[in-house]
Amino acid sequence: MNSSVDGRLARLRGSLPVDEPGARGFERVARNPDCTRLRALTIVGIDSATAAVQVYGEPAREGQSPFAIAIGNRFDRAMAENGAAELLELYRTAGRLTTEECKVVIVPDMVPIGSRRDLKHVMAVRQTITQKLLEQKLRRDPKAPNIIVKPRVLVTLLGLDHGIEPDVLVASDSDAFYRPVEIKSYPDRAGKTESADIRSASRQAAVGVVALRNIACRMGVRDVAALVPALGDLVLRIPGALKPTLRPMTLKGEVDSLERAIQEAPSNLEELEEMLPAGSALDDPLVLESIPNSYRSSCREYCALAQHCKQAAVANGDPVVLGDVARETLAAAGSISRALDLARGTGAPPRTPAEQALAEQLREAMNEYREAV
Amino acid sequence: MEHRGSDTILSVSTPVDKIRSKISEVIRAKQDALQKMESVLSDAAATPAALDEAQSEVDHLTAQWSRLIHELRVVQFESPERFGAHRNRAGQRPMREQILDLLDELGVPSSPRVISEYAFACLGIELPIARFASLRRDEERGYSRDSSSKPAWVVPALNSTGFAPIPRLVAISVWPIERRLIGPRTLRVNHLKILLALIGRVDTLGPDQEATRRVLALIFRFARSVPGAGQGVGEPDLGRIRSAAEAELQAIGPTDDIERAQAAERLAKLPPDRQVWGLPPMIKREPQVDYKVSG
Repeated sequence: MNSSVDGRLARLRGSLPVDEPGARGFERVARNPDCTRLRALTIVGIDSATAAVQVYGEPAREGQSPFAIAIGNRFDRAMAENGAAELLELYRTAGRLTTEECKVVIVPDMVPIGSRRDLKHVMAVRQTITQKLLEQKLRRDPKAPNIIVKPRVLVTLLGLDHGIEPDVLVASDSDAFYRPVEIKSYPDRAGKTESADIRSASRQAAVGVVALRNIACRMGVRDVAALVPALGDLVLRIPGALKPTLRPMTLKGEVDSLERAIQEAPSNLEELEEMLPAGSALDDPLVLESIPNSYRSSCREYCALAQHCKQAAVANGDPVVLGDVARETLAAAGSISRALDLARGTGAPPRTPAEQALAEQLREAMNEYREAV
Repeated sequence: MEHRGSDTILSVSTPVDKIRSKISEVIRAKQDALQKMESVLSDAAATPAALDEAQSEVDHLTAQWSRLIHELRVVQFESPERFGAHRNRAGQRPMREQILDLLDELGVPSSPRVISEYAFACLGIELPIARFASLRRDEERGYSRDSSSKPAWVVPALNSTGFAPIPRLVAISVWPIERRLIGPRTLRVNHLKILLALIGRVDTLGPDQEATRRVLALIFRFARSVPGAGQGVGEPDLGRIRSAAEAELQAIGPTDDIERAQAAERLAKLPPDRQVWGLPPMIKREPQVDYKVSG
């Protein structure tokens, strides 16, 4: 069964290499639940950047800046080094952990990549270690760690099992279970921190909540929402230093939207296979193009296919190229040229009540505009 | 002799000679660049761009020089072990012996980064972190060939629950079992013990101001997470840091001692090589391919 699924996924990927989506991949799906193309790529494990370059032949674009990557890596390392001393201090200062609650496990240190040639074996060992630690906490073992750095949990998302690695899990001895922590090297400028960054980090933390609920469910917990509430912590960076700040977040909206997004069709491999021609693979531009997309102006923040989708939207005269407000307002018209026809009263008469309403709205706006100028 | 086209290149014998030869070239190029910069500076008509260009050339060569000097140190550091001639070279000891000494001073299993930082702070020597992994593999191979061939081995610390090795924490094989074990609280306990070892080391550094400054910087970094260590404005107080670290150690140390002692009893029942290198980590499921269907 397992090998057949692997075989089916491999067939769907065609010649494209596999890439584990991780929390970031699912966070992207939740950002744009209407984009079936991104969802399909995520299900079969193809990175959008790989698809852009290898399927559509687009030039490789610069990803995250090397400077940002270096800062991010340094910050992550600083949080984990010396027995996660910085994180312990952070949670102690916040009153979330006491001096005695200092039990720390750093999973990658126990099974580092490079100590074995087989990456899958390394990941399987990390997964086993994490599973044991979570079971320990669930049975209220006093030796259960308070901080687990880079655990690896296996969760079912989009109908398949995926490895997810939250940055940190944290719990005091009295807590029933862990809370996910997302570490980001964004400078914390209080109310002036980039809100898109905070939203993105919150959605990734929400993937952690969904993952913990998923694993608790597998361990036989009935009320997973009570055990793992929609709460998470963001650890950001004090501007100009490698010192952390703590932001507890309520993630109800993010968790709900993520759960909704992963239930949308195609929600699993079977549904994806049904919507594609038999024997086809996503490395074929025609096949990938046949899967509906849903371009939005925010796509360029996280999806390497954004430029390709934008070009298609421009070619089709899709109102989204005028912005997300225009996309919603002109949805009934379907295209910019049709919206112009409706506004000017040219072309075919309105075909639906929605078009009729839009035509009246547009004509009214045109009249107001003429009077104003 | 090696011939390449019309040029004749003298082949050099060892990596050290090669690097020295490159350093000589860089020194000559830097002298030229400095002369050029001097002439630009003395030329009243020279543009700021010309000055920037000359400065950039000097900076580039300085960086190259510094990299080559670092490479030379590494090669010289490795060569005694590689060729077995270290006893004949004054002041050059194999990396493993340096690590054993440093671990002995720190007193607890430590990460390569901490050992490397400690070596640089106290002795001014650079121990490349990247070499620790190969060293540990060499040690394991050497031990399996003949465990009595060396009095002590650089070994991984062991997890106190399943006795799986923790490759990113190194220890000394002759330490008592419980000192090589890592329990749930041990990472924090060892952090405090390292801090206390660093404070103790400051008094032994003598007149080396630079080393003292480096060790103090390390102490302040380690002390940052200790409640009551007082990292406020003004001169940090080593006495206060020591008291704060000891107080925290007193709060969590005894429980950690008990947990590790209990684990040590279990580990002592295993064969001697398992007591040193631990047990392979257990996997619940077979390693998977990238995805797997859930039920």
